[in-house]
Amino acid sequence: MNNDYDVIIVGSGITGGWAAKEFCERGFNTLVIERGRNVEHRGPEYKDFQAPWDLQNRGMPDESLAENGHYATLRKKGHLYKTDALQFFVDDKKHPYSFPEDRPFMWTRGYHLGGRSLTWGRQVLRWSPMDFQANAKDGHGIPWPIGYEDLAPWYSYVEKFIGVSANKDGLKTLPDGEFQAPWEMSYAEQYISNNIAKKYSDRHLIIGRAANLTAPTEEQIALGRGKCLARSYCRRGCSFGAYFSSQSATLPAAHKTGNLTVVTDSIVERIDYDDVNNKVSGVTVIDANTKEKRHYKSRVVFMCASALGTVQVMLNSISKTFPNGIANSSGMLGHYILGHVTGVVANADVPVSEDKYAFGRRPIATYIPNYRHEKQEDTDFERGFGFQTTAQNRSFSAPNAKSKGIGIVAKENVGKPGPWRFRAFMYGEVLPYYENAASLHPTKKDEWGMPLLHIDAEIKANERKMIKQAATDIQEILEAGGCTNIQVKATPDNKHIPMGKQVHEMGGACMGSNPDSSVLNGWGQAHDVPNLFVTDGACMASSATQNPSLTYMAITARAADYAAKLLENNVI
Amino acid sequence: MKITRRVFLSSMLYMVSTTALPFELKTPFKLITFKSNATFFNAEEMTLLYDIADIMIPSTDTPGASDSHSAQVLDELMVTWASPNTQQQFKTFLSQFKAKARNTSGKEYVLMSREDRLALLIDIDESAFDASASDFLVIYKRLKALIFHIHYSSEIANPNFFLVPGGYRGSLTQDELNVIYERKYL
Repeated sequence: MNNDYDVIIVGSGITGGWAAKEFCERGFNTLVIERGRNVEHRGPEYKDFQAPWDLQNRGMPDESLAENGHYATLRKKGHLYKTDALQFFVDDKKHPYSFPEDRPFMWTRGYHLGGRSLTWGRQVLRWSPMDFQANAKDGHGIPWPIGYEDLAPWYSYVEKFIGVSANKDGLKTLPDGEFQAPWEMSYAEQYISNNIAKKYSDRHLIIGRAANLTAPTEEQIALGRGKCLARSYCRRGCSFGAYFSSQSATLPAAHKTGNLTVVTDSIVERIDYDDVNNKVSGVTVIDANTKEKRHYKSRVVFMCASALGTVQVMLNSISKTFPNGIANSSGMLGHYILGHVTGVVANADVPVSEDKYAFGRRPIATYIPNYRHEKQEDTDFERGFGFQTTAQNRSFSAPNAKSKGIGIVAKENVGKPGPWRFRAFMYGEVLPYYENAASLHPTKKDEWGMPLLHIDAEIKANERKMIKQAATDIQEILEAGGCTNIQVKATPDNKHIPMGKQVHEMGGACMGSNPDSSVLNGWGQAHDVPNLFVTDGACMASSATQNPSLTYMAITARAADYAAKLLENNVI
Repeated sequence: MKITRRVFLSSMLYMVSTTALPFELKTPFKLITFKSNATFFNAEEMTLLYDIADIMIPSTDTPGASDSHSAQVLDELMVTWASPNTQQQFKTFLSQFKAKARNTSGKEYVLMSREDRLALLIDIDESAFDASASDFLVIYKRLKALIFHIHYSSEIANPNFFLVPGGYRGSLTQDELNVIYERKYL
């Protein structure tokens, strides 16, 4: 077997798939290495055609899993711990990681082909110019070496390929892009949106921007993708290919070129570094099943193993030149672990006048974008927050087994239409903190001999202040929206809020202009090693408030284009 | 997870004790007695479970727990889902439930009238949600939650569920919604 390639891509998720597509289409012999098993598109692991009564154990995972300590992180998330998609989430008993006892970190992972691109939230939001300027402006974290203008054409490039259903809202805080037809707001959501618009010029309730096709292009149809049929079973895998994933889009596009090789069940242990030539020469992998080691060589390596996965491999890649992890002359590798924080949940009735209903399961929520980029007189914190929101279906009285009541009366109360209920979840930006860091555990290793990743990260006073303001704001916004019976629940200061709970972990190998204070340059290229690139969430220098995957994809496509030119010109 | 009609019918023997019927109920008040052991529960336990589920969620003009075969599904779940601890808890609960019925009415549960069986369960249900509930009542709440989950996630209890809705509409009148339900697709 020939183990020499032009490009090695570590990871097959949302960024790995993009890197594969770009390099393969440019004619490079490309290897994608996935640590988990193969998952076939439309294969037996997709459960999108199972009705609630068809799900294994009616959706309830085997009780012995919990009793024996499996899926500890996923169980804390509740709604994801179901048999409809359990196969797409990592059991942290089998794949442990470490954190301080008093600061638990929730690391949600997917170790299989396609990674978390199969289970992601599909909310695709551009960052605004203000988001890229924030670090430089308020002095927190490492200033971004790129701005919105650098990424804008790549946002467009990515959006056209993946398919984004959205409305052109004309907001400077959330730039518009290349959109297919938006999803419809419900009657109640439109009511609130209209009322908010009457009172505010800076706060808006908009329909979410979804990577679900509403008007497939010829290119998307040619890849076997179809229109979204509003099942909202996306995390089970979509046999229609209606939402974007590596399986539905980038990997098939890469395969079409004939330049793609994919190996699964292969855990990258380290990036191999050539001290003499100051280049990476390839990677060493451990076979997940046999535990035998193999080597693959390449001219360039793209790390797309998810933010923390990439940091783990890089820290484990030690050499004479880099005794503390590859490309770590700055000492910044592992630092500035970022994320989002939800400390406020609000519920309210929507007292609309007409007796209206909704049909179907819309695959995306509504959204109130961040309106607090600028520090205002009434606030005592930096950065801001938005809200993920929804009232997509009218409420119906649900069977309540958790209170008194059985028999005819209790039963006859079930299923009666109730009011529209609006829910809002704060999504706040966690400031970049140097001390929020990931490192290799000094003694503990997994069953493949890899040192466990130890993640020590927490939210701090700034985020606590933000939570208080978000609670005040959402009360006011919902009142302006015409809601009644408003209930706002803010997490108290003495209650721990784990980092990672919102899944969007980022940072650890931040971009920056200064090689002394950052790991990567503006192309995602390691300052220290010219043929090593990091384009997953690890490269992020701040988190903003938007869901980050679209930005990861744009950064990856841009970096791949840059690296391809370097390869074509034999610079690397 | 579905229970086939063949399995369902073969597991039951006969019905006893027809009593006065409230008009709301679709089927007569009758106690279904199981003739053979099920997968996990024995015949006597299945008889109790089936009746408890039927009283909790009776058949009226809409399907009840007996229509969704909730007791039989629960029996399957005891094998495919429940841990040994839960299995033992439910066995113990049914044994204690039977004893409680005997102590309360002076006769075996299967010989109690539907009204008395209903009264017994209402009494248990009302006590179960007190702060100082006993182990017996805590397990009762688990059983109730499971029966509700099984029934309300069943096909027969969800006639307007669409695996493939075909699209989303957010502002429909009841008439427009009914047309879609009739058409079974957007």
